[in-house]
Amino acid sequence: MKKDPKDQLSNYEYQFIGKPVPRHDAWDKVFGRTKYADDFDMPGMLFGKVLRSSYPAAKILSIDTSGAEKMPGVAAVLTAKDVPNNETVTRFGQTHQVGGFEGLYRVLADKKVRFMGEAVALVAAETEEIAEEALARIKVEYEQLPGVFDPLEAMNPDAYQVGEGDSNIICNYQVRKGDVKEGFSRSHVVVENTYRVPFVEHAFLEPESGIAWIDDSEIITIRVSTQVIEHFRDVADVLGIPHNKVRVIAPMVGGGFGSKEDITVETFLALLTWKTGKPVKMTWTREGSIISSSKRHPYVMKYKTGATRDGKLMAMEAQLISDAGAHVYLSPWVLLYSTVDATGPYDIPNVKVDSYTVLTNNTFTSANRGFGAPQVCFAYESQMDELARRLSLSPLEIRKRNYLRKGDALATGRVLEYGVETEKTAIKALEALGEPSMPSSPTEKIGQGLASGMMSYGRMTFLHDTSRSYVGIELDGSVTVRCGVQDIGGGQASSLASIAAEILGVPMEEIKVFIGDTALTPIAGTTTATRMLYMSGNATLKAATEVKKSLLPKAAEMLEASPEDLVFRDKKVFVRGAPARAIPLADVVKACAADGVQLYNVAQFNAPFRELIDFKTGQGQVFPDFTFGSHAVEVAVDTETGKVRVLKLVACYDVGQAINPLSAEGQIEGGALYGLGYALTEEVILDKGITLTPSFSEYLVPTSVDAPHVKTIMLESRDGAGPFGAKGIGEPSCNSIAPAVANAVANAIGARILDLPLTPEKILRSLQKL
Amino acid sequence: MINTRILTQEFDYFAPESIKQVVELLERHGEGARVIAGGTDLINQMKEEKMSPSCLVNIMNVKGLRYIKEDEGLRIGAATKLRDVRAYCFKSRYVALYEAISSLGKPQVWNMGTIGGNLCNASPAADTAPPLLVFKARVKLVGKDGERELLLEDFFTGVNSTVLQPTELMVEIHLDPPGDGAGNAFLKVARVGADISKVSCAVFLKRQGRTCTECRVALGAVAPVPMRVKVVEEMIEGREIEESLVAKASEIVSEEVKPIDDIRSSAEYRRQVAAVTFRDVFWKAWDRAIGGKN
Repeated sequence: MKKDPKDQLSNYEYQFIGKPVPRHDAWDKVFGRTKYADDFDMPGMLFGKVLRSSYPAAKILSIDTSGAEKMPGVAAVLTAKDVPNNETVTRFGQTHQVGGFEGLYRVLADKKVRFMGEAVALVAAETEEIAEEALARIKVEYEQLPGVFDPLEAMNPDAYQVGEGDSNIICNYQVRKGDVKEGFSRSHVVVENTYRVPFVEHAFLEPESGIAWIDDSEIITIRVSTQVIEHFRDVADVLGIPHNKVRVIAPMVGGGFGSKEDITVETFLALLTWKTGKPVKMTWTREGSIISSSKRHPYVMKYKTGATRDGKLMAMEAQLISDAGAHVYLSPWVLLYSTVDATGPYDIPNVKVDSYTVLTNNTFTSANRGFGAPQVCFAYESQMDELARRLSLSPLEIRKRNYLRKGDALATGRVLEYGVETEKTAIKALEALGEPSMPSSPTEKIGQGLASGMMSYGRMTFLHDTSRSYVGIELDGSVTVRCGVQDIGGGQASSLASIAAEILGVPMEEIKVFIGDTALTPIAGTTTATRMLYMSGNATLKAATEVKKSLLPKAAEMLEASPEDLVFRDKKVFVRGAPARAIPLADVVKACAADGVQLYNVAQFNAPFRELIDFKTGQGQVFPDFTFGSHAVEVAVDTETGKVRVLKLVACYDVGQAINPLSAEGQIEGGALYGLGYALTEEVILDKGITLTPSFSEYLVPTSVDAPHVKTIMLESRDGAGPFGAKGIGEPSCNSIAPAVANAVANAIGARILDLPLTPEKILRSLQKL
Repeated sequence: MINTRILTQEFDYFAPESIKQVVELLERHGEGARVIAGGTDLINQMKEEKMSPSCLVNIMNVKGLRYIKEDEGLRIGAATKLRDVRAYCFKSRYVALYEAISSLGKPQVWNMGTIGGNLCNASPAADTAPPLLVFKARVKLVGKDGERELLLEDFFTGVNSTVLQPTELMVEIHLDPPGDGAGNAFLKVARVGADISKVSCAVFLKRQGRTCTECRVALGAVAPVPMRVKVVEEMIEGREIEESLVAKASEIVSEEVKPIDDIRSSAEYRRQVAAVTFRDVFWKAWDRAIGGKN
């Protein structure tokens, strides 16, 4: 393990950091005791429902709500005209407004509908049944419009206009480094392919859900399953009331994966409770969720990659086109991630990337675990294997000759200043994969595949991201952390407890972490972008360190020792090297309290602040840092049925420092399975804007019986930007699995499939058996 | 939009305790009445508003509809849970039925669903149908005019449709005794572990040495109804089994099936894989057949 001399903490033998501890919330979840959003009821509560568009593209001529309003038990029926500020322009970044790509949104559709699941009207009623019936009695008169469903078609200047602007192209980025013409001319082989990846559903266990009420002091309070409690501002803006009159509480979230980053039920609930004065609950059905919530972006990716005879990459040219669906949402930023990540973790002298994201009348696309990284990883890692095959090099060898290393610059000019251990992750992953298994039948082929990837953690630096955390020590020595994180199941709260425990020497059980409440916990930003440990972990580390610092003088006085010789451990303070000279931590706290020493600290952590990069050259810094890793898989392909069985799956990542290895391993296993679905079965199929896969009977996620054993190898470089040198692992962990599977399948059958998912039908077709 | 969290429809509900009462209720409530057993298909269809019965007659409290007994073969009460049938057929002479149920959903479905329900729903992909077809199952129906018994292959009339009259109830499924030298097997091709079949196939055969004296082949999800492939049965029965014969038979299977394109797969894929699946199932059953020498 490499130790950074700058990091004084690495001299410690940690007591909590890096120790596998079962999560404090694990048993509650197993026994069903955890109260998720839908588990809350209130007396007199109404049920909210959304009427959704009947067409993917249509003019709304009229809406007649009288039939619904007349129904007994119906408390409110709302359309666009009832929303105080129905039109809002979203800007990205809660604290720092940046120019460009402002998306116009309507809470409820007005004049025009752009996709099949668009919200047109809201109902609140005494029962869910009455609410359903009321929806059926709302008469909407539409005039159908042609719509456009293919992003390439939508790019034509004379294409149907999805929105109200004069082009369906939302934005375009370019990366320019060196001269690709020159690079290709000096290449011995050039591989050119067009890759396609599909719409993907997040498929969290808990669908969108929440309950809202007006509290004693007229505050609109929304308890909701969300990754972003900070949307309270947007909700207040829609209602036209001050921000401090809306409170958002996030209970434990049953999975987010990016789809609870955008507003889901919050605004609808706030409007209905504001209109009726009563508590309102809304939970989407699975079908409603799949049809109307965001999806992962499908991409068409044209890649041209050239290398010398000895496998050194000389040039890469990529054109990326993503389908943004019907509304802008986070598409420009997802595209920027793809653009920066387009080269993969490789040092390429000549690079040209052109990327576009385009509106269509499909379901809108936005954040999905990986945020644009997995799409390009599938393409660039397929390209690497094709180059290796053409050059008769091993997949590992060609990668080793091109991996970026610490101190190298990306094609965007950004110098990698933290740990880059990609090569080590690839070597270890392949080692663990071992020798190929024997086929179980004469028609079965075994193949092995490797893929490496990089993905950022932390938000884009021009968003000027910040987080805050409160750490306080109580008179009995127990510790309170207040931090506005949303815990979406990744152990976001638990890792803050580990950090506070480590610094203050207090056992985990005596740390209480309060999370996710805009009224009571300091705002910590979004649980997105693999930023929570990096941002709030650093803020908590800072606050805990400050609290400890404020206790030190008194403790030193009581122990008659110098402050730098003191150790906090097991709720005691003692002199280093002389554990017998110890006093209870509670005694120190009480003495400090008597002296008026401040026993808490609220710390803010700021990520590096940069300005927007140059979108014509792509030059500049977009991310704080990246997480690097590799997947190695072995598959058995039945050449008669086209079925792929994953026999072995190894995930190896440099996590910097695992705060809780059990949690980190859980993320890496979950990421592997998330990516496995992308590789083999998952695809939201739309036919002219209509979802053909609205439930888990059609949309197939791997089940427990489909899951192979995932072998996780964690490297700890202690060279990340997070607390204790940690890197983020949540999203990066799903990055390179699909190309690893694709490379393994290509290795098995000797043919490459360029479209995900790798269905049996496609495999038989590529074997020319269909 | 359809709300799968609740049942919005209004309907009458009865839970009688005798077959006679069931038939009376069905007669009284006419066309709008539906029998409900495990509900694993019907409740979904109601939530999706594909079915709107005005009256549900729950048969799970009816005495004498849940049993498995050996009596000139195997007799299974129509409301017997899939779980119980599966447990009974494990390592039995009806192992194909065990294999079919094992592939049909997972414990949640086995614990609720019934064997009669799987048949009466008449999905082309009903997994219990191919093995029951090759066991020459007969189904016993009871209605206002009394009782009738017919071969399962005459029971299905189309996608989700059967010969069952609105006032009729399936009460028993009766499988032929396999006899000596018999082997059987079931296989299906699906997308994930718990999934609807793209193709399913069951084979029952008897062998004497290297000769196949009796053979029945059935496939699911490749035609509007689960189907027997009698041309193939005839070309195999009485013949010495060689690889070339089975290969030829597989080709015929491919020609005989009438699959469609849908969200789960394509017709051409199903056609191709039906052949492979048949071949694998055949050899499995062949190896299992007792009384013969390999």
